[in-house]
Amino acid sequence: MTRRAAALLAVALLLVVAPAARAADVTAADFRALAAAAVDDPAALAQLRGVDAVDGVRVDVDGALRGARGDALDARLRALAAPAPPPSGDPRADARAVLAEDRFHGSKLPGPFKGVIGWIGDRLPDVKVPLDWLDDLLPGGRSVVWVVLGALVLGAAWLVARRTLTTRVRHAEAQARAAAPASLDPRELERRADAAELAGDLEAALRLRFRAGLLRLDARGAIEFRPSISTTEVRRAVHSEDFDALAATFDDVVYGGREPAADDLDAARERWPRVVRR
Amino acid sequence: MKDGRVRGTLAIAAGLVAFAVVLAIVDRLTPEPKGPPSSSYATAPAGLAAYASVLQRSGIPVRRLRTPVAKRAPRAGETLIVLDPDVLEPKEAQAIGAWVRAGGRLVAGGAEDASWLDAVLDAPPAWRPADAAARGTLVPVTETAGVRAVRAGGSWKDLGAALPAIGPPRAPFLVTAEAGRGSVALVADATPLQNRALARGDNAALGVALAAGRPVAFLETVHGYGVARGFGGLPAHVRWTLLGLALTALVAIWAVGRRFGPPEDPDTDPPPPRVAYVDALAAALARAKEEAR
Repeated sequence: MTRRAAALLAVALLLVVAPAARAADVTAADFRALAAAAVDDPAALAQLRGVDAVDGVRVDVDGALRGARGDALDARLRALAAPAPPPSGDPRADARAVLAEDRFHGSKLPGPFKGVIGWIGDRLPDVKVPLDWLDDLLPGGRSVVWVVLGALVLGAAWLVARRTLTTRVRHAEAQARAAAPASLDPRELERRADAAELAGDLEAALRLRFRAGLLRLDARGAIEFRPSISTTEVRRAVHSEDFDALAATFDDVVYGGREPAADDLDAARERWPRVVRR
Repeated sequence: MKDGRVRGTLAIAAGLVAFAVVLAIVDRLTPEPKGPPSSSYATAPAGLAAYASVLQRSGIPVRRLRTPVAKRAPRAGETLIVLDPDVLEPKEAQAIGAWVRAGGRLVAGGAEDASWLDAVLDAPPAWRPADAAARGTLVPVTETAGVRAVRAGGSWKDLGAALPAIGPPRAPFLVTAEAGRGSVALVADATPLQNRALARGDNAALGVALAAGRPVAFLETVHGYGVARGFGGLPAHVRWTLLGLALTALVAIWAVGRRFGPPEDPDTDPPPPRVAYVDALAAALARAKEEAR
């Protein structure tokens, strides 16, 4: 009731102060009061139509009400009389900040190679065409295309890796075969061991003499020789303290990195015949 | 020596070119702004993703509806935004109309005729094409708070009870109307709210004013978005993380798994049991004692 009285008072003041035919600048509160009164008061309506600025901002109330009569006009006047909240914040600055985010611009190539990469990129065929083709071909969304492409890349990587590894393994085997003694004759190996010992390569002499001993054990049927046979296997097969000592020396030198001594070769010459004769 | 240097130089150059090609391909495939016109998900120039973010920055809660209004109505007190819908079934239009008349608030329109508004308003204005031009504010209402002018196309005719809020008066860009206990704001062109124009002039202020200080719900079913379930319902970054974890698990399984090589030769036959040796020795001793006797 108090608000209505205030509105009527404001309208009355407006009617007194401003002639109906003259343009007027009113406050937002006066404007709404005028609009509310205009529903029932032709004078207020005329005054309202004459308003051309609200709080200093130009408006065209007459244009907004033009052509409306009866209920339509009342509806428009009610809309004008409804309270309107004042603007707050700076939406334009917010919009600028939001639109500066990468998601609205995509990615840009950084760095000193930008020009080169851009030049190459311009000459690359459009990769989206095959992607779209795959997308049409495969059921499901674009993620399915990426999963399938990922699987293909993994498969290709596996094939390449396997092929490369196989080549390397074959190469290593060939090298091993080349480095291996050509003969499996124990006597030949012992002759080469003597030559190596004379040349000062005690480790090679020890290796050759050890292999000759194993071949002799194989010839006697005590073991079944193969290049990968371990000293433990031989030890279990022959049960010889002499062999245990020879195997310990061999492991120390070949796998443990100990420098061989002349005594080691003397021991080998002395003990291997006992191992083989046993 | 010279040959080796040439080879090395060529190898480095080839490596750089390969690296650049990979970068160029990655650049081609990196996500670009996308999305359907007037969708709040869309970051493309015609999308409304920036508008949604501006509303949130203004303190207005925003959510996207991926379930038809006919199945689940927006919350009371929300402003429902339906701009440039691809298609809107009569049942859906009627559900929106019922929700608005019950007190809801609708912001609708776009760059095409919106005949579905017949289900919302008794006598909706008719949409007409118009060239883009500067449109000045006609009256100070909620929808024009902070807005003096915007540049847009399209117009409304045969306004009836609808109030033209942004002009020109005979072919306004923005009109407001009552519908039952609710209200409707109709824009003849969504361009001022789209990413490409939101930062210009008073367009962002218009967007905030249209929300009328209420929480906003963008109806995304009209842009082809539905309820996503299962793996597809997860956010993209979660899906990529899960995919990476799955690949990592596969690599881990492969790394710790047993390698099957060629069969090894069986070990040398073990020596005979000691009991056999003892038996043989005992037999030999027994024979020796018998001979001694």
